[in-house]
Amino acid sequence: MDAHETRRIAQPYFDAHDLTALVEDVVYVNTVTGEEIRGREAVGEVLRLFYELAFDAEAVDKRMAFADGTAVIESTWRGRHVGEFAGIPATGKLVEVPICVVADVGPDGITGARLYMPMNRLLDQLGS
Amino acid sequence: MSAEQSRVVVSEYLARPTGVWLSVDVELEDVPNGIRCRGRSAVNEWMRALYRSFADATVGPVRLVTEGDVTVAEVLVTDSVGPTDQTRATSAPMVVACEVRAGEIVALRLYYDRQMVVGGAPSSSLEQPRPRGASRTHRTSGPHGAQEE
Repeated sequence: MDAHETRRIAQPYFDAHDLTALVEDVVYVNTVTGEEIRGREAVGEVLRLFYELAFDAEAVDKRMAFADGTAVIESTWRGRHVGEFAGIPATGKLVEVPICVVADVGPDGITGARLYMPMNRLLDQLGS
Repeated sequence: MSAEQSRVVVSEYLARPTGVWLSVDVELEDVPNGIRCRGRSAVNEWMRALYRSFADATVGPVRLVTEGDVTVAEVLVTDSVGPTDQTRATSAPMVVACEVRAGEIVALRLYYDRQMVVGGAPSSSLEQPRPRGASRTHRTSGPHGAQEE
């Protein structure tokens, strides 16, 4: 699969978290915590936690790159802490951390992804 | 500069992280530690310290993705831990995102699990980025422990 096809498949997920860009049994790994999230539905739940439930957040300053079967996005994840997260009740604080996701892309969608997110910096900003 | 040339620059730098591939005013951001340093000598010092911290590590394979002037390398760092008779290998992925212009790396961003780094990195010539909209006073932890800003 060439870079053009990789972009066509992966970019909807990077642009708008289009879960249909993920294969049903996608494996998402948080490289910092080691946590594995298995399945499209579970990934959707994690996204809702980070972008809607615990934080009212968005990804800004997106930089994407695509190669044969690999897609990468760097961005700044920014939002307000509006719900419980890691045992910390909503603080209303604004938080911001750089993140990077490297995705493995097959003809049927994103099959796996590795999230690089500095949780220590997020928790520091929450006052943990 | 072609994508292939950028990939060569980044590959060579990852294999031998010397200043020859860096611009004079190169800027590095160590994302997990929230630390930035600027200038060839400061970045050289930081990268040497980082490589030293992986005492017995091997790096590879390297996956490279290039878009415009940015080349992103994802590598698997494998380190051996423990006495010889009980040695176990631990592996962790790491991302090095490089901006390459005119054959030189002008910016690097490092993403990794900072707990896999057992050594220290230089704290001189460093500045702490402050998140926009966040309180002016916040705590960050660098290779040398927590620092109050």
